[in-house]
Amino acid sequence: MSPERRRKAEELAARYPRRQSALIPFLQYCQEQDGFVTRQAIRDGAEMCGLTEAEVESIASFYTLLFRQSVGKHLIQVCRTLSCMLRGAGELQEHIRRRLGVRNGETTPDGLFTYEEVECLAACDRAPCLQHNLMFHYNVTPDEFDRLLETWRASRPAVSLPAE
Amino acid sequence: MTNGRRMVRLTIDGTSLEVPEGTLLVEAAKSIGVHIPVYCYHPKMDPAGLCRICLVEIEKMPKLQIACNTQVAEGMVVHTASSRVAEGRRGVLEFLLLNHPLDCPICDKGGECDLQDFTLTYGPGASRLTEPKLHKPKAVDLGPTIVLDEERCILCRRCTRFDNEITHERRLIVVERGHRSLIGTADGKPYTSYFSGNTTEICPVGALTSKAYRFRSRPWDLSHADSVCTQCSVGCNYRIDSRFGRIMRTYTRENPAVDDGWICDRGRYTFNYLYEPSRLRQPLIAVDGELKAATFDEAIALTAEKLGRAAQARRVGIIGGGRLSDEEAFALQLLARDVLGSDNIDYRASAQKYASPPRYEARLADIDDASLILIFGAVTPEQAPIADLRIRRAVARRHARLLFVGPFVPPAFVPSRHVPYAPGEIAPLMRALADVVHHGREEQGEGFVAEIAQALAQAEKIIAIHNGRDPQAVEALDALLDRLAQYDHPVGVLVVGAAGNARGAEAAGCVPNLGPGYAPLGRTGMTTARMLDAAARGEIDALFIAGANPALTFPDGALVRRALERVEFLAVSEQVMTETAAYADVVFAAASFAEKSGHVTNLEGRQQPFHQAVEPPVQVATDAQILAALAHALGKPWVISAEPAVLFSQLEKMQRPARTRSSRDPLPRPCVDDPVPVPDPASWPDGLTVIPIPHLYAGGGAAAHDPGLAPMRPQPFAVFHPQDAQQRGVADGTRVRLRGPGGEIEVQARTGDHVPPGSVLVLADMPEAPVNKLTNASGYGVACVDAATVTASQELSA
Ligand code: SF4
Ligand code: SF4
Ligand code: FES
Ligand code: FES
Repeated sequence: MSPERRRKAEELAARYPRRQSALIPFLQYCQEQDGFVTRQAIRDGAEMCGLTEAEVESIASFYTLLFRQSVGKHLIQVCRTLSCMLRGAGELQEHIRRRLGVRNGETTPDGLFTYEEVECLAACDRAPCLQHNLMFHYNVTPDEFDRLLETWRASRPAVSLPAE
Repeated sequence: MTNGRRMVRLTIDGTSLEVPEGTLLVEAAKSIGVHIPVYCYHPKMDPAGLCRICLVEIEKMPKLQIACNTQVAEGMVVHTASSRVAEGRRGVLEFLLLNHPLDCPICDKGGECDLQDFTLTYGPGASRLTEPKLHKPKAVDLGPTIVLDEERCILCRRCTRFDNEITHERRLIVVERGHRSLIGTADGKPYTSYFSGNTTEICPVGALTSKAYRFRSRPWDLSHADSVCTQCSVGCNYRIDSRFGRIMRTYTRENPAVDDGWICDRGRYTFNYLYEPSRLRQPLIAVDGELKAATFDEAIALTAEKLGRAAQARRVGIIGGGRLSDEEAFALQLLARDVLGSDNIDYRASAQKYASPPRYEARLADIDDASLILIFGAVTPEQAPIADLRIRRAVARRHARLLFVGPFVPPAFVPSRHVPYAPGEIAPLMRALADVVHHGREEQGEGFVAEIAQALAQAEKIIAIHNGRDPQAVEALDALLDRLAQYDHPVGVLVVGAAGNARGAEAAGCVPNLGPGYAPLGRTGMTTARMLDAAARGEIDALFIAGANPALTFPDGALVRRALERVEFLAVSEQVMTETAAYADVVFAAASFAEKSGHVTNLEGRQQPFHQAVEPPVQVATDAQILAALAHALGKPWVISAEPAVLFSQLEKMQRPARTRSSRDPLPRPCVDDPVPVPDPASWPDGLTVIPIPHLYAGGGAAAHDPGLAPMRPQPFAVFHPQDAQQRGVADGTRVRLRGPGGEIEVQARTGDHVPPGSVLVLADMPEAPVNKLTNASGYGVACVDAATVTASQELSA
């Protein structure tokens, strides 16, 4: 572990009664640094918490907001659970795939957009829901998506997740 | 009240019963013969409540409840067969089958699959799913032993919980989540646990399958025989499953006192060597220095003649027994004493001197509630893996302290403390401990003595585990435990055997000064070392070796080789061509444990019966038959019966007194040779102390020839302290030659901080690189790195 990362790890661990509780904030921190959760970050997380690499991998892979490969600058996640599917998420997904020319889980060749279909985003009352770099967009139609896409292309924000 | 727990009365399916509070409903039901289906629940693991198949109806509770994680309560009324329960189970099964591939016709589990069985009993007849099924990877290579079908997996997590709660290795995991979940390891690394095979048994479906058994048989075509594993001294109970007279697989056969329902992969997968070309299928006789096929009668006649003649001149010796059954070990000493009239009989073909403690014999189950486990010499994860699971549980879940005393840091999966002591320093340490403990001055010991002494004084129950190699340390330990026992500390000792039936051979009288049942003879024959020495000097004319491979395992390799070369006549009884058999004038093809019946005695002294599973090849005889035939040919047919049952009844009578004695009466000790000092590294240019280390998959004989073990078998290696490696220009992964006074071996170099500086750990018992070329009778040696090999390997890698 790099000295800087170790400092951060200790700082995070000190906030909780059990070290293991700091694992997810730590992985988020690593992701912020590296763009995704690297193998080294898995090893560092294991070392920090006294877990095996396998255990950290199991945890990291559980969360859809921890990435195991580099993702585009814009991460577009569309809900595919019941309420959203009943309210047109299927068509929306179809539309996005066509617009971006990617399949579920893929990134556009220019590295700008990563598209993912995810489980319930807990916004069922305003389905279908789309999440763009942690920002929710509700009742999204294909037209609405096209409009959003234009603004994203113009703005080019970086994926960023709060470290805690 | 049971164990001080309050009893709770409840009703299950109209039957009223009383069970201790805290009992899980599924167990309470089991106790009255009511079967509740389970998938994720496993009696050896914590309940997880994942699969929901165990739903039951409890009166006054609105919803169905899971029986595997609901504790009994006073007055509870439970229904396990109501229509609501049936409907619940049907629903759960429909979900479990949603994406299930239903490839039962080609699935190894078919016929013993809980998904198949419960669907038949409780499930819906047909699926209502019209959408395509979700697809996942099939035939995933999970590691050297296991193939995984992710589509068949019902995500019960028994396998991952086993890897976490039972082995504490924590390498098998669930990745992803929801219906996308997969079973895997970090970064797709191979799953290499020594216990991997158990997951194929506890997997309730055909997701985890054993490479060795894949597509080999259907469970209903298998014949079963209750046997005992003899690959190490733990003596796990297992079942041998065979079809058309050929072994297909081995399967756990739970004995809570011994194996707790598990077996290790060495035990599980060592049987295919029986079907290899290297298996000895008929006796061999050396003609002009070359071993040629012979008949049994020819081999017997020649051996009897040579042994008989040597015996008359009092120049005969017999080595072995540690890999025979109790009956055969008994017969072997009958051959020596009652047929050949010699006490030159010794089972000890390795550095091990004792297979039992003189007093304070512990049981394996004593580990469970030990508060301090003190280990020296033995490396339990490698030499007694299933016993090591008990140690892991005691430490991880019951707060026992684990203390290793020895020259290197052994592998450990649970927290432990390593106390560094050089070889040869253990006995003085034990004496120092006995002294401070005796005077109640635990804090005053020097060095680590104070630390260990205080741990001993505070412990409520102490279990010591060692390898029986160092008689002085064993004696000092006995004195130490005596002191501790005076203060009412329960204490116990386990001795890990170098051979699977070492303790059985010791108890059957395969030592020069003790007869069967540890009966002192008042006279003594030669120990193995003395026999070899005499043979090397031409003072012994004939040696008979059965169930032992001293050429590989005896620490003074130079002596063994000289002896076996020099001795005029050598007969060896073996299953495969071993390093020892290669020197023989006569080789008997011997039956394996699967091909005979009898008893074996494990490291705790438990004598366990095992039953024949398959027939041996036609020209292969059991060791009892060989020994009986020799007795016959030597004119004393009445001395040795070929029948295990007859031998056992004779042996049992002789063993009874030792068994029924009080645990404080010392068992008579097998005689030992004068101690040989550990070689001084300074005695050899650029010398390092050679410390042999055991490995589960090392060994000659069966282990070296078994195709099932081949993928797991390590290459010969040596581990250097990084500093020593650097000084000598040895890089990790390169091949180097180690040279000692007695010879040299070629190994792969590794480095590790767990090696004490000035020493090198060398993998023991590898026929390709026998460490006994470097060691002397102390079991340790001295060697330097051949500089030529260092430059050569550097050039190669450059
Ligand atoms: S592989 Fe078998 S034991 Fe492991 S979770 Fe799947 S069904 Fe359960
Ligand atoms: S622990 Fe020993 S006795 Fe048990 S299965 Fe493994 S090798 Fe056999
Ligand atoms: S179903 Fe889409 S947000 Fe809940
Ligand atoms: S057995 Fe009860 S939930 Fe799985």
